[in-house]
Amino acid sequence: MAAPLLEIKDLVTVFHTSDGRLPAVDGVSLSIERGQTLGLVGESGCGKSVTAMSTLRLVSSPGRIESGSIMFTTEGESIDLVTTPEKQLRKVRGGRIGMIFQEPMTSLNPVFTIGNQIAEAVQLHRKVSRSEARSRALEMLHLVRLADPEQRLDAYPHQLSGGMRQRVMIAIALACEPDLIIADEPTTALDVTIQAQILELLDDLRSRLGTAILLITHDLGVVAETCDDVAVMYAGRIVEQASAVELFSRPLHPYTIGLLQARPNVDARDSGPLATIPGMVPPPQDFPSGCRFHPRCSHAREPQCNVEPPSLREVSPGHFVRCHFAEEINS
Amino acid sequence: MSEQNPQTDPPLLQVKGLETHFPIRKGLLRRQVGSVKAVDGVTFDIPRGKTLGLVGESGCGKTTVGRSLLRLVEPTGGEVLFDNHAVRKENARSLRSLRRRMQIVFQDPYGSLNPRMKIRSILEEGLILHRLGEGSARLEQMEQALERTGLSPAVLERYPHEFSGGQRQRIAIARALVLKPEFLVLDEPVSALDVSIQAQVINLLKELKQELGLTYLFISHDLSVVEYLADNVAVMYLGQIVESAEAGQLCQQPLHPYTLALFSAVPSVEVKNRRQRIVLAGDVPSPSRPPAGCRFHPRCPLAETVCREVEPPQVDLAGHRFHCHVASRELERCGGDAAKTSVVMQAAITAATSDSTEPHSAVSQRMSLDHQ
Amino acid sequence: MNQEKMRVSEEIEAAKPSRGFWSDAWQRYRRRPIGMLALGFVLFLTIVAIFAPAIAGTKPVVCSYKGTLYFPCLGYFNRSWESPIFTKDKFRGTYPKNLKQKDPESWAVWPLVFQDPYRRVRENEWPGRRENPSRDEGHPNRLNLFGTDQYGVDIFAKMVHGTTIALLVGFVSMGLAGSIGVLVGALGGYFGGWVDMITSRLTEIVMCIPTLVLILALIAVVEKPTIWKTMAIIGATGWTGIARLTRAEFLRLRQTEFVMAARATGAGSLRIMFRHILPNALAPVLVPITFGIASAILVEGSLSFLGFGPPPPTASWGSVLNSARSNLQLWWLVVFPGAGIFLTVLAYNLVGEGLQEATDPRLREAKK
Repeated sequence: MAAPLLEIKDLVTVFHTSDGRLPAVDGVSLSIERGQTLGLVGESGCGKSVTAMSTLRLVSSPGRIESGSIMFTTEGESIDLVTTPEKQLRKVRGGRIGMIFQEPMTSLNPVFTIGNQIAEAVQLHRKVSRSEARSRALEMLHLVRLADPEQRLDAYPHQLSGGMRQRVMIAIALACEPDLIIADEPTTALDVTIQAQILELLDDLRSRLGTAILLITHDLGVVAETCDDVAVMYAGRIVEQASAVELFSRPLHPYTIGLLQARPNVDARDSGPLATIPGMVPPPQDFPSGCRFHPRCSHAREPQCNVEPPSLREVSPGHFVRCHFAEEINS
Repeated sequence: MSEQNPQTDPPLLQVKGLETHFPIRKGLLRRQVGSVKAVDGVTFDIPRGKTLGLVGESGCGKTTVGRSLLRLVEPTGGEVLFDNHAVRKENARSLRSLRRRMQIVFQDPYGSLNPRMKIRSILEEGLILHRLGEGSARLEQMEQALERTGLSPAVLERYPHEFSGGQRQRIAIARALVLKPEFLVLDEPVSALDVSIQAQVINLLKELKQELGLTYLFISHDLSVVEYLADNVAVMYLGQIVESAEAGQLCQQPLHPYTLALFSAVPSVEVKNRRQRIVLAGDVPSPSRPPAGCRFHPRCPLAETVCREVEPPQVDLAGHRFHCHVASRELERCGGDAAKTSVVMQAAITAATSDSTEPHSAVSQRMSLDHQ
Repeated sequence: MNQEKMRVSEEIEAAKPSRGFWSDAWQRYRRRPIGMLALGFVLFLTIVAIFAPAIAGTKPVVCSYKGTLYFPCLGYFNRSWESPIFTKDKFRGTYPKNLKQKDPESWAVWPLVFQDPYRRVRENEWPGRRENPSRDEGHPNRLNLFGTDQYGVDIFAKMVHGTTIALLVGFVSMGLAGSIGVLVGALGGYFGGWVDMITSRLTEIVMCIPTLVLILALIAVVEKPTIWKTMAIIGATGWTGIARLTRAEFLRLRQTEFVMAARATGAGSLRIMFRHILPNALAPVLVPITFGIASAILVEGSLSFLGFGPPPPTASWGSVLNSARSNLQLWWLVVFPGAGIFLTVLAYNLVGEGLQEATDPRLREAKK
């Protein structure tokens, strides 16, 4: 069986601050196959963004990757992104793995035209002339369905709207036909109708180009509509992982169940208060002992839950849960 | 939308033709060359004890409406009647006493509390300004407000930066409650919070409304939250209300193309609630140069000639109000049946927007396959 | 719901003790050793400045004369604080001998170093001591730690008393500049419109005039130049940077939501400006004020050096440098005041930098 496109194994990324060693990502393992979309979901502070940044070693001091491996397999070759030398990594960044950030307002350089910025991405990885890079940039703008691409090529970021800028970011990410795109909350800052446009675009590009996507978001709805597989993160660890269909029809981990139940919807209007998850997401300096979710879990049982950290177990084919009592809770 | 029962009191809040225009000044002498028509003719009522949800995307003017009601931003036209007081005509002193009864909770929990003031000072401010109570009586009122929002009095001696987003929102709500207001403008109060915290704060707001008999104007871009909380909903686009109805009715029988697009754009985990996705072309426009005729026409998949030229008049179907040429025509064709019209509009829009049908059918195929 | 409420409260009780903005900033400041060193030096200078007459002088710190306690050293600060009884009994200038002569019961606590910043100490003024050397013989020696100037006046004493002058200049002029600057900036930044236009243009006009020239002009015009008038003038011309910064802060802060919230609660403009905005604007404004202190000291030094400072016998570091101009062979006249000014300015600049880092919100966010 072919190796997955990206395989993260036991990744640990820590931050050394005055409060000590904070493990923002504490033993995360994920894998993405060619052409597949994996959604990494979690609330703020769970470590999903740090995971994404670690994949391309973009985590800046005081954070650093402490242990684990990130195997990226392309064109028959496997490299470990954690240990590969900087020079080779730069070829991967943008060349084989593209990245889209959350804030389209600040991710584009305001003093360069967008044509310039796309062409730069091309020229960093391909030996092409400037005019070739420019025509490639135009091609990309067509690909992302930006209106009036010829004129926009010479426009500056501030002249475009949020949705347009995000399309430009996607164009930059796709410019060198990467195998994988990491999208860190790509639509969070956008209006809902624009979000719909961007999600449709990503879906379309995926089916046309076969690019795999690692989609990071806090929005469960987005994940349900666009991803093949889902991994739910909490306090630096993956607590549940399954295919999207399976996860949303049969969530097993109390946190996932809680998140789904906490979403307000029109059907729940008159049936009393929303089911909430009491308490707050713990910050890394105050991670609880044992199962990190236990203080907020209505099913928590002493002494197991507060002493022994559960491991990620396959409870049913392809469905992994990090909970001591997953089967009992859901029977 | 406002069930006008002649036996009850008039609505607590009546807004008629509200306009808030911001001048655009250019040149050395700062001459006005145009204006940003953030709010351009908004009319609604909120009966006492009810919640009006005001929905829309960025640039539609909903935040400006909220602020204009309290005159935190000065409206430039129209009328605002709060308990029959003409808010716009009040002078500084009477406005201040009106402000006791109308309070606001802002969106950003990190920006709405003064970082250099202890929570005690933040909460006490209102009591000091309105000369309510003295010393221990004040303390009692503050503690009461805190308790209502689920916070202990220990909070008083701390600073805002020591709290999380959700806790800060509770403090902001407590600040609004300390003056015992009747009306609360909630400007995207949960948008900046995580899902699990959102649910807590939403529950809190619901409870407070019932316990204290409050009236809410709930502003949000998040349709699911509005659907859940509001009694009546108004959808805004480019400074105007395009459709408004009682909440349940709006969700089940939306008539305006923008409303339909908005509802379908919300990603949902529930397969059964998943509507056929309508993807609008183009961007949310800027309110400084609104299009002629129906403001939505440049993005509307059903736009006709009349839409480009004539502003659609309001159609009122037993409280369900909307402004759309096409929808009113279809409504007539369906004999005044809103449900039917809604289905027809939905189908028409879907047909008009799906020129690239492949991605949609791929998604819907997957959906149907997986649920066999 | 009640369970939820309790949980929320518990979490807050369990949190760490409350820390305001300034104690937080102090914790951050403490971590930089060089900032602490500079602060220590500034504190040292402040102590020297306050206790100058007790450190170097020819008047007793405290003495008992004819049964009553007196503090003659205070005469260094203000002539009228030295009790007139001493003038009557013709003491001034010869305390040690006269005290003993005129009242054998008297006792006195003397300053650490028996030298005077204003005049040459005479032969046998202190029993058994020769008079202060002058000119080329005045190099640093056991009695004159920093040497003497061309008239025989002790430099150490001048340095010590000059510290008082220097620090006074710094604080008084910056106090004035800070007040004017914050007021002008706050008005312009908060009200905008034509108020802002007037204040900005005013600021720009004052900024355009070269400060030193303006100060000299004002000194020339003023009738009797004293150190206080010089300080006032330095303050009245040095407020522009502070005004601009304050204005920027007020412009930014007036748009924050907590200000809008205050308005929604019913607060008026004055209250918002001083109760809400100013505490938030203060931190960034304190930084240029600190730098301004250093700058004021430098300006005063320059003025005195050029000869435009307060007239003798005021002892300031700049005036020592002034006497150095015509006596360059007396190296001690250059080195000590030069080092003094240098170290003081350096110290204040380092404190200002440390303050900036400790209070900069961007640096704080980065830590998260």
